Amino acid sequence: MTKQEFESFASGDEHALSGFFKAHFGYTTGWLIYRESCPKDRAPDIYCDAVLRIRDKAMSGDLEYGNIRAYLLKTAINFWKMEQRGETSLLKQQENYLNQISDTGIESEFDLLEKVETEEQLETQRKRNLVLVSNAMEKLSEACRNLLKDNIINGIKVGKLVEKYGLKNAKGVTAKKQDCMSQFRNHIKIMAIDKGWNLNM
Amino acid sequence: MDDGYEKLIRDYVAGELSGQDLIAFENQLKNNTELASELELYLALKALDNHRLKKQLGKEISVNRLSPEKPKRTISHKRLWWLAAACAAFVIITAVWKSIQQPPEKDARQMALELINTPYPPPVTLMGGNDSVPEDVQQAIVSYKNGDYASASQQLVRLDSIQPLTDEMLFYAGESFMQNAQWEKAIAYFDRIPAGYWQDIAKWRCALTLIQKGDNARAKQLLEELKGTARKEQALELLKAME
Repeated sequence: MTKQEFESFASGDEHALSGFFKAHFGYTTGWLIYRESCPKDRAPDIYCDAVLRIRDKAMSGDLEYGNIRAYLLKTAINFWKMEQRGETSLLKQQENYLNQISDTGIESEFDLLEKVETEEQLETQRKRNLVLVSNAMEKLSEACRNLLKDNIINGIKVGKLVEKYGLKNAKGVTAKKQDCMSQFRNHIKIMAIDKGWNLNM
Repeated sequence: MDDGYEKLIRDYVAGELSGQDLIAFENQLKNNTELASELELYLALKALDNHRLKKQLGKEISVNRLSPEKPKRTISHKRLWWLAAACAAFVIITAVWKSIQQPPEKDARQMALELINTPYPPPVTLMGGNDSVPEDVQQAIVSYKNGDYASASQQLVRLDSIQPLTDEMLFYAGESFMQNAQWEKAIAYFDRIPAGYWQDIAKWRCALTLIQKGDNARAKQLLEELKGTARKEQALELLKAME
């Protein structure tokens, strides 16, 4: 991986993510299967988690250009060991839930979640959050959606977003972000009131 | 939300916080509603984005027919540890074995005996030189050369009773008695040698004889005297062994 490729990867470019994923798939999944006794059907999923975690770190500036392959392998092995110990991160729990509902579509969850009052409150609330956030994001303009994704999800620093969004300075980015965030939270609030759901975010 | 909290939220959601950091962060979440709200928002957004990206990346596997590669055979860490342990064990066993096999440090008596067992070289006679040496002396020298120390000593004692022996012959008389393990007679002859060419070597051979006899005090005294001569190193070695 060249430094330029790493910079694209760290800027959140999804084409670079795809290239990175393909470049290390064979090596990392092979290592998990043949050296760490990971089942063949689990290795790609664990590898995918590791790639996305590495991407997070690169985007938020916690990972610098260097021996990325070794770090990726270490991350994948750690995830596999976590799975062996029966540990699941919060993020993984939410993703698993999204996998369960992906066949029916997130819209149908509005009705379903009204019937699950007996479930643990926090878990239910988190499932509701996924539905609210997903719908609220859809209602935003593409520019706002991308800005919030880059800043909140990808953790890209304001300074780096100035150039990417063609804004004058960091103040411009902060103002734009606050405006988008306000719209976003407003959409969430309206939907929650409409459904009679309490908000915890 | 500041950068420190953002990083904590990311690590917490990814399950990478542990120990005291995890306990501290969970306590903060209980008391800080704004932080808890940020976390919930990030969690939902991140899960949705990851879900989307995973679908996208999953397609790459089938489209590009990606498959696991068998890692090249290298020495695994486990094997490397075993190899290192085996090497360490080999080194320790060898060292212990060698220490068992090594002869114990020689004592002064043994060292002296080894030195005594190499007789002093016989006198050197130049071509025609023997002509000027009395016949009895010549016979004693021949006996000494042939390793017949008993005859050599007898002949030299007999000659000594007729006329005083030269320093050289006094030395060979002492050496002959010494080779026959007649320590007291050897010492007596060595002691008679006055200062001169033969005295230092006589002191040295006398010290060796005294050690065999068990008179270490006098042996030490002679060896101390030899510290200022060419035999310094040998004298010091023997003195060290006597300590």
